[in-house]
Amino acid sequence: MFGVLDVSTSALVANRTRLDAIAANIANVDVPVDPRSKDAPFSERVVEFASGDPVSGASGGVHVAQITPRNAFRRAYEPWSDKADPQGYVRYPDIDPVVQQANAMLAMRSYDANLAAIDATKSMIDASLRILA
Amino acid sequence: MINDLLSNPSLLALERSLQFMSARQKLLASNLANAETPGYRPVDVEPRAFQSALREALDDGRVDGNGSLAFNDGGPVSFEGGETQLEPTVLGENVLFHDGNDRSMERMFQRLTENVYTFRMASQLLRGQFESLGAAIRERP
Repeated sequence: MFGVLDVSTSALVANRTRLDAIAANIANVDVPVDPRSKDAPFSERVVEFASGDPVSGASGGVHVAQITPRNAFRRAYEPWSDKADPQGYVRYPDIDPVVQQANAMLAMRSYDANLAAIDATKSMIDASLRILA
Repeated sequence: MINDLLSNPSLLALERSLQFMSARQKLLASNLANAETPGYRPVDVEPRAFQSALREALDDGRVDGNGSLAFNDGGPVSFEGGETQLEPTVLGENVLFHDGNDRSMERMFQRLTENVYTFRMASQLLRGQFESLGAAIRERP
């Protein structure tokens, strides 16, 4: 029975990771330099889920399979910037805040759904503890 | 004498039901956890299939080495070696999503709620059985 809590918790962790990535995407929407790559702009992080939980080894559950950078950039004409190319354009990440908000809502709803599943499982555990007590 | 007390059919049926429902809960929680997983197909074991297997086992009065009900081989539910094994079926896919994952939260929560409340009912009944046994032992209600 306690294995069920592993399953739901893996989904909480996965969705929290996704929300972290979305928060980073929104925060870095105007960052022309990714601290990781030094010269390229920040690129949108896209979180991909896969079923199964390699951490606990359980068959059920979900985990973050990979976080891929979506290398899409927009260009702004800012010749005064030291990040500008010879034509005077600075590259910024092509992140749409509306898409990010929609993804954030999905992640939150999914988080809530799994919290509700945990509550349901807890009431089952309570009931089975009361059989003999 | 004590064996006969502990092997009455309703006690055996309740034991198997609780085992089945706690195993099924894991499938349902997994479906919810994978609501956002591309290409995932939700799975479940229909309670009806379990109920008909339970009825067969009760009608035949088959009991395994531990004194629990023994189920037919080949069904969707088996209790080999004290472990509850489920053979889930894949629920339908949803053509509205290009990866085919159904994502039907309402249906999943309906199944989950149903499962939880049947579990609580079964555990309440089991508790009642043990309480009446206790009353018989104490010789007072």
